[in-house]
Amino acid sequence: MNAPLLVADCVSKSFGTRRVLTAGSLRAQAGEVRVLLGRNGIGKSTLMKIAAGVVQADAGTVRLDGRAMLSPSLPVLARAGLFYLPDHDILSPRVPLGTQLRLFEQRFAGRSAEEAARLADVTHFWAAQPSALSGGELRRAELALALSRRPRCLLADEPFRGIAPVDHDRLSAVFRQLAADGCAVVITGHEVHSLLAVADHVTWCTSGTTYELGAPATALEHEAFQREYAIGVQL
Amino acid sequence: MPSAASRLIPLRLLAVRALWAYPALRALIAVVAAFTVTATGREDAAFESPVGVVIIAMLVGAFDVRRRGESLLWGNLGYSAFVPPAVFGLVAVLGELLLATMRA
Repeated sequence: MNAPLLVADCVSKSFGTRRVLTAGSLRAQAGEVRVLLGRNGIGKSTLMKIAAGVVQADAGTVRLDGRAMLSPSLPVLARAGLFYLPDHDILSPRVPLGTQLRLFEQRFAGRSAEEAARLADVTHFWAAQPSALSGGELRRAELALALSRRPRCLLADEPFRGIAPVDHDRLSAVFRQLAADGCAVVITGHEVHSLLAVADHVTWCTSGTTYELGAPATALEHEAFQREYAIGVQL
Repeated sequence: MPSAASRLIPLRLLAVRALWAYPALRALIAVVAAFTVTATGREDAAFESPVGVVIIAMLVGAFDVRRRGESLLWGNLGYSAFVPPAVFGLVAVLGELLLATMRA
Protein backbone atom coordinates (compact mmCIF):
# COMPACT_ATOMS: atom_id res chain seq x y z
CA MET A 1 0.00 0.00 0.00
CA ASN A 2 1.23 3.50 -0.82
CA ALA A 3 1.90 6.06 1.89
CA PRO A 4 -1.19 8.11 2.84
CA LEU A 5 -1.63 11.31 0.87
CA LEU A 6 -2.72 13.45 3.81
CA VAL A 7 -2.01 12.64 7.45
CA ALA A 8 -2.96 14.47 10.62
CA ASP A 9 -0.76 12.60 13.03
CA CYS A 10 -1.19 12.33 16.78
CA VAL A 11 -2.90 15.69 17.10
CA SER A 12 -4.27 17.16 20.29
CA LYS A 13 -6.64 20.06 20.69
CA SER A 14 -8.30 21.81 23.60
CA PHE A 15 -10.95 24.50 23.61
CA GLY A 16 -10.52 26.38 26.85
CA THR A 17 -10.35 23.79 29.61
CA ARG A 18 -12.05 21.12 27.50
CA ARG A 19 -9.67 18.70 25.81
CA VAL A 20 -11.35 17.37 22.67
CA LEU A 21 -8.47 15.40 21.18
CA THR A 22 -5.55 13.83 22.99
CA ALA A 23 -3.85 11.88 20.23
CA GLY A 24 -6.12 11.62 17.21
CA SER A 25 -4.92 10.67 13.75
CA LEU A 26 -6.52 10.92 10.35
CA ARG A 27 -5.14 9.28 7.23
CA ALA A 28 -6.39 9.90 3.71
CA GLN A 29 -5.38 7.21 1.26
CA ALA A 30 -5.49 7.76 -2.51
CA GLY A 31 -8.25 5.73 -4.20
CA GLU A 32 -10.00 4.92 -0.91
CA VAL A 33 -13.11 6.14 0.84
CA ARG A 34 -12.43 6.25 4.57
CA VAL A 35 -15.09 6.99 7.15
CA LEU A 36 -14.44 8.56 10.51
CA LEU A 37 -17.04 7.45 13.03
CA GLY A 38 -17.64 8.39 16.64
CA ARG A 39 -20.14 9.87 19.04
CA ASN A 40 -21.22 13.52 19.00
CA GLY A 41 -18.66 15.92 20.43
CA ILE A 42 -15.89 13.34 20.40
CA GLY A 43 -13.67 15.39 18.07
CA LYS A 44 -14.33 14.07 14.55
CA SER A 45 -15.04 17.48 13.07
CA THR A 46 -12.14 19.03 14.96
CA LEU A 47 -9.78 16.38 13.64
CA MET A 48 -11.03 17.00 10.13
CA LYS A 49 -10.68 20.77 10.49
CA ILE A 50 -7.12 20.32 11.71
CA ALA A 51 -6.32 18.10 8.72
CA ALA A 52 -7.87 20.73 6.43
CA GLY A 53 -5.89 23.58 7.97
CA VAL A 54 -9.03 25.36 9.20
CA VAL A 55 -8.13 24.86 12.87
CA GLN A 56 -4.60 24.72 14.26
CA ALA A 57 -3.71 21.78 16.51
CA ASP A 58 -2.11 22.29 19.91
CA ALA A 59 0.30 19.46 19.12
CA GLY A 60 0.86 16.93 16.36
CA THR A 61 1.67 17.30 12.69
CA VAL A 62 -0.12 17.51 9.38
CA ARG A 63 1.74 15.95 6.48
CA LEU A 64 0.89 16.18 2.82
CA ASP A 65 2.74 13.88 0.42
CA GLY A 66 4.96 12.93 3.36
CA ARG A 67 6.03 16.52 3.94
CA ALA A 68 5.28 18.04 7.34
CA MET A 69 3.54 21.39 7.25
CA LEU A 70 4.44 23.78 10.04
CA SER A 71 1.26 25.84 9.99
CA PRO A 72 -1.14 24.21 7.53
CA SER A 73 -3.83 26.45 6.12
CA LEU A 74 -6.75 25.62 3.85
CA PRO A 75 -5.63 27.85 0.94
CA VAL A 76 -2.18 26.21 0.89
CA LEU A 77 -3.61 22.69 1.13
CA ALA A 78 -6.29 23.54 -1.45
CA ARG A 79 -3.64 24.63 -3.93
CA ALA A 80 -1.96 21.26 -3.34
CA GLY A 81 -5.16 19.39 -4.15
CA LEU A 82 -7.37 19.34 -1.04
CA PHE A 83 -11.09 20.08 -1.06
CA TYR A 84 -12.73 20.57 2.33
CA LEU A 85 -16.48 20.23 2.67
CA PRO A 86 -17.56 21.49 6.11
CA ASP A 87 -20.73 20.50 7.96
CA HIS A 88 -22.33 23.78 6.89
CA ASP A 89 -22.94 25.40 3.51
CA ILE A 90 -19.94 26.64 1.55
CA LEU A 91 -21.67 27.88 -1.58
CA SER A 92 -22.26 31.59 -1.84
CA PRO A 93 -26.06 31.82 -1.42
CA ARG A 94 -26.71 34.50 -4.07
CA VAL A 95 -24.25 33.54 -6.80
CA PRO A 96 -25.67 31.10 -9.40
CA LEU A 97 -24.35 27.56 -9.05
CA GLY A 98 -22.98 27.52 -12.61
CA THR A 99 -20.90 30.63 -11.91
CA GLN A 100 -19.40 29.02 -8.81
CA LEU A 101 -18.62 25.81 -10.69
CA ARG A 102 -16.86 27.90 -13.34
CA LEU A 103 -14.67 29.48 -10.64
CA PHE A 104 -13.24 26.05 -9.77
CA GLU A 105 -12.94 25.00 -13.40
CA GLN A 106 -11.02 28.17 -14.29
CA ARG A 107 -8.88 28.17 -11.17
CA PHE A 108 -7.69 24.58 -11.28
CA ALA A 109 -8.37 23.42 -14.86
CA GLY A 110 -9.76 20.16 -13.45
CA ARG A 111 -13.01 18.75 -14.77
CA SER A 112 -15.35 20.86 -16.89
CA ALA A 113 -18.09 22.54 -14.88
CA GLU A 114 -20.77 20.97 -17.08
CA GLU A 115 -19.42 17.46 -16.56
CA ALA A 116 -19.14 18.01 -12.80
CA ALA A 117 -22.76 19.21 -12.71
CA ARG A 118 -23.85 16.15 -14.70
CA LEU A 119 -21.99 13.72 -12.44
CA ALA A 120 -23.52 15.28 -9.32
CA ASP A 121 -26.94 15.45 -10.99
CA VAL A 122 -27.33 19.21 -10.55
CA THR A 123 -27.37 20.26 -14.22
CA HIS A 124 -30.93 21.60 -13.89
CA PHE A 125 -29.82 23.88 -11.04
CA TRP A 126 -27.12 25.53 -13.16
CA ALA A 127 -28.72 28.99 -13.08
CA ALA A 128 -30.25 28.62 -9.62
CA GLN A 129 -29.04 30.43 -6.55
CA PRO A 130 -27.95 28.00 -3.81
CA SER A 131 -30.32 29.74 -1.38
CA ALA A 132 -33.19 28.26 -3.41
CA LEU A 133 -31.95 24.64 -3.18
CA SER A 134 -33.03 21.99 -0.68
CA GLY A 135 -30.57 20.31 1.70
CA GLY A 136 -29.94 17.31 -0.52
CA GLU A 137 -29.64 19.44 -3.67
CA LEU A 138 -27.24 21.75 -1.86
CA ARG A 139 -25.03 18.85 -0.81
CA ARG A 140 -24.93 17.52 -4.36
CA ALA A 141 -24.15 21.03 -5.63
CA GLU A 142 -21.25 21.27 -3.17
CA LEU A 143 -19.96 17.91 -4.31
CA ALA A 144 -20.18 19.20 -7.88
CA LEU A 145 -17.67 21.85 -6.83
CA ALA A 146 -15.40 19.08 -5.56
CA LEU A 147 -15.82 17.15 -8.80
CA SER A 148 -14.98 20.26 -10.82
CA ARG A 149 -11.90 20.77 -8.70
CA ARG A 150 -10.87 17.14 -9.31
CA PRO A 151 -9.18 17.07 -5.89
CA ARG A 152 -6.44 14.72 -4.79
CA CYS A 153 -8.05 14.61 -1.36
CA LEU A 154 -11.60 15.31 -0.20
CA LEU A 155 -12.50 15.79 3.46
CA ALA A 156 -16.28 15.85 3.87
CA ASP A 157 -17.77 16.55 7.30
CA GLU A 158 -21.22 15.00 7.73
CA PRO A 159 -22.21 15.07 4.05
CA PHE A 160 -25.34 12.97 4.67
CA ARG A 161 -26.63 15.17 7.46
CA GLY A 162 -30.24 16.25 7.07
CA ILE A 163 -30.83 14.76 3.65
CA ALA A 164 -33.31 12.15 2.48
CA PRO A 165 -32.13 8.52 2.26
CA VAL A 166 -32.75 8.54 -1.49
CA ASP A 167 -30.03 11.17 -1.83
CA HIS A 168 -27.55 9.07 0.19
CA ASP A 169 -27.07 6.75 -2.78
CA ARG A 170 -26.47 9.66 -5.13
CA LEU A 171 -23.87 11.18 -2.81
CA SER A 172 -22.25 7.79 -2.26
CA ALA A 173 -21.94 7.39 -6.03
CA VAL A 174 -20.08 10.71 -6.17
CA PHE A 175 -17.69 9.62 -3.41
CA ARG A 176 -17.04 6.35 -5.24
CA GLN A 177 -16.49 8.27 -8.48
CA LEU A 178 -13.91 10.50 -6.78
CA ALA A 179 -12.11 7.50 -5.26
CA ALA A 180 -12.12 5.77 -8.65
CA ASP A 181 -10.38 8.88 -10.01
CA GLY A 182 -7.64 8.34 -7.41
CA CYS A 183 -8.89 10.87 -4.86
CA ALA A 184 -8.34 10.17 -1.16
CA VAL A 185 -11.79 10.58 0.40
CA VAL A 186 -12.51 10.90 4.12
CA ILE A 187 -16.08 11.40 5.35
CA THR A 188 -17.71 11.61 8.76
CA GLY A 189 -21.26 11.33 9.98
CA HIS A 190 -23.72 9.25 11.94
CA GLU A 191 -25.60 7.61 9.07
CA VAL A 192 -23.76 4.38 9.80
CA HIS A 193 -25.43 2.20 7.17
CA SER A 194 -24.80 4.64 4.33
CA LEU A 195 -21.26 5.37 5.50
CA LEU A 196 -20.28 1.72 5.91
CA ALA A 197 -21.81 0.91 2.52
CA VAL A 198 -19.52 3.39 0.79
CA ALA A 199 -16.42 2.86 2.96
CA ASP A 200 -13.22 0.99 2.22
CA HIS A 201 -11.85 1.66 5.68
CA VAL A 202 -13.23 2.65 9.08
CA THR A 203 -11.54 4.87 11.63
CA TRP A 204 -13.14 5.08 15.07
CA CYS A 205 -12.75 8.26 17.08
CA THR A 206 -13.27 7.82 20.81
CA SER A 207 -11.89 9.11 24.10
CA GLY A 208 -9.73 11.72 22.39
CA THR A 209 -7.94 9.24 20.17
CA THR A 210 -8.55 7.20 17.01
CA TYR A 211 -8.42 3.52 16.09
CA GLU A 212 -7.90 2.19 12.59
CA LEU A 213 -10.43 -0.64 12.39
CA GLY A 214 -9.92 -1.63 8.76
CA ALA A 215 -12.63 -2.69 6.32
CA PRO A 216 -16.28 -2.25 7.41
CA ALA A 217 -16.80 -5.99 7.97
CA THR A 218 -13.70 -6.14 10.15
CA ALA A 219 -14.73 -2.99 12.02
CA LEU A 220 -18.08 -4.49 12.93
CA GLU A 221 -16.30 -7.46 14.47
CA HIS A 222 -14.53 -5.11 16.88
CA GLU A 223 -16.22 -5.71 20.19
CA ALA A 224 -15.72 -2.27 21.76
CA PHE A 225 -16.77 -0.49 18.55
CA GLN A 226 -19.94 -2.60 18.39
CA ARG A 227 -20.69 -2.08 22.06
CA GLU A 228 -19.99 1.65 22.32
CA TYR A 229 -21.01 2.97 18.92
CA ALA A 230 -22.44 0.60 16.32
CA ILE A 231 -24.94 -1.31 18.41
CA GLY A 232 -26.91 -3.73 16.23
CA VAL A 233 -25.42 -2.45 12.97
CA GLN A 234 -24.98 -5.03 10.25
CA LEU A 235 -23.70 -4.74 6.72
CA MET B 1 -1.44 22.92 -14.70
CA PRO B 2 -3.42 26.19 -14.78
CA SER B 3 -1.62 29.26 -16.07
CA ALA B 4 -0.95 32.33 -13.93
CA ALA B 5 -3.69 34.18 -15.79
CA SER B 6 -6.26 31.44 -15.21
CA ARG B 7 -5.44 31.50 -11.50
CA LEU B 8 -6.54 35.13 -11.44
CA ILE B 9 -9.76 34.67 -13.42
CA PRO B 10 -11.96 33.78 -10.38
CA LEU B 11 -10.96 37.08 -8.81
CA ARG B 12 -13.12 38.83 -11.42
CA LEU B 13 -16.10 38.07 -9.19
CA LEU B 14 -14.48 40.00 -6.35
CA ALA B 15 -13.36 42.77 -8.69
CA VAL B 16 -16.93 43.29 -9.95
CA ARG B 17 -18.18 43.54 -6.37
CA ALA B 18 -15.41 45.98 -5.55
CA LEU B 19 -16.30 48.10 -8.58
CA TRP B 20 -19.85 48.41 -7.20
CA ALA B 21 -18.73 48.96 -3.63
CA TYR B 22 -16.06 51.61 -4.28
CA PRO B 23 -18.29 54.38 -5.74
CA ALA B 24 -20.88 53.76 -3.03
CA LEU B 25 -18.22 53.89 -0.34
CA ARG B 26 -16.63 56.99 -1.86
CA ALA B 27 -19.99 58.77 -2.06
CA LEU B 28 -20.80 57.80 1.53
CA ILE B 29 -17.47 59.12 2.79
CA ALA B 30 -17.95 62.36 0.84
CA VAL B 31 -21.42 62.82 2.34
CA VAL B 32 -20.20 62.11 5.87
CA ALA B 33 -17.26 64.48 5.35
CA ALA B 34 -19.54 67.23 4.05
CA PHE B 35 -21.97 66.68 6.92
CA THR B 36 -19.15 66.81 9.48
CA VAL B 37 -17.76 70.02 8.01
CA THR B 38 -21.23 71.58 8.05
CA ALA B 39 -21.96 70.43 11.59
CA THR B 40 -18.62 71.35 13.16
CA GLY B 41 -17.51 74.18 10.92
CA ARG B 42 -14.05 72.60 10.72
CA GLU B 43 -12.41 72.06 7.37
CA ASP B 44 -10.81 68.88 8.61
CA ALA B 45 -10.91 66.41 5.77
CA ALA B 46 -8.21 64.11 7.06
CA PHE B 47 -10.53 61.11 7.20
CA GLU B 48 -11.17 61.62 3.52
CA SER B 49 -7.55 60.90 2.69
CA PRO B 50 -6.94 58.38 -0.12
CA VAL B 51 -5.09 56.06 2.26
CA GLY B 52 -8.05 56.09 4.64
CA VAL B 53 -10.45 55.33 1.77
CA VAL B 54 -8.29 52.38 0.63
CA ILE B 55 -8.12 50.99 4.16
CA ILE B 56 -11.89 51.29 4.58
CA ALA B 57 -12.39 49.61 1.19
CA MET B 58 -10.21 46.70 2.33
CA LEU B 59 -12.24 46.38 5.52
CA VAL B 60 -15.41 46.37 3.41
CA GLY B 61 -13.89 43.57 1.29
CA ALA B 62 -13.12 41.46 4.35
CA PHE B 63 -16.57 42.09 5.80
CA ASP B 64 -18.28 41.34 2.49
CA VAL B 65 -16.76 37.84 2.25
CA ARG B 66 -17.64 37.16 5.86
CA ARG B 67 -21.20 38.41 5.43
CA ARG B 68 -21.74 36.17 2.43
CA GLY B 69 -20.25 33.16 4.26
CA GLU B 70 -17.70 32.65 1.49
CA SER B 71 -14.51 32.25 3.56
CA LEU B 72 -14.29 28.49 2.96
CA LEU B 73 -15.30 28.86 -0.68
CA TRP B 74 -12.34 31.15 -1.36
CA GLY B 75 -10.16 28.97 0.88
CA ASN B 76 -11.04 25.93 -1.23
CA LEU B 77 -10.17 27.98 -4.29
CA GLY B 78 -6.71 28.41 -2.78
CA TYR B 79 -6.97 32.11 -1.96
CA SER B 80 -5.89 33.27 1.46
CA ALA B 81 -8.10 35.48 3.63
CA PHE B 82 -6.02 38.50 2.55
CA VAL B 83 -6.96 38.22 -1.13
CA PRO B 84 -10.54 39.63 -1.07
CA PRO B 85 -9.50 42.73 0.93
CA ALA B 86 -6.55 43.15 -1.42
CA VAL B 87 -8.83 43.14 -4.48
CA PHE B 88 -11.13 45.72 -2.89
CA GLY B 89 -8.07 47.75 -1.91
CA LEU B 90 -6.63 47.59 -5.42
CA VAL B 91 -9.87 48.84 -6.95
CA ALA B 92 -9.93 51.68 -4.38
CA VAL B 93 -6.33 52.62 -5.24
CA LEU B 94 -7.23 52.81 -8.93
CA GLY B 95 -10.33 54.83 -8.08
CA GLU B 96 -8.38 57.27 -5.94
CA LEU B 97 -5.78 57.68 -8.69
CA LEU B 98 -8.56 58.39 -11.17
CA LEU B 99 -10.11 60.96 -8.82
CA ALA B 100 -6.75 62.61 -8.25
CA THR B 101 -6.18 62.81 -12.00
CA MET B 102 -9.60 64.36 -12.54
CA ARG B 103 -9.02 66.93 -9.79
CA ALA B 104 -5.57 67.91 -11.08
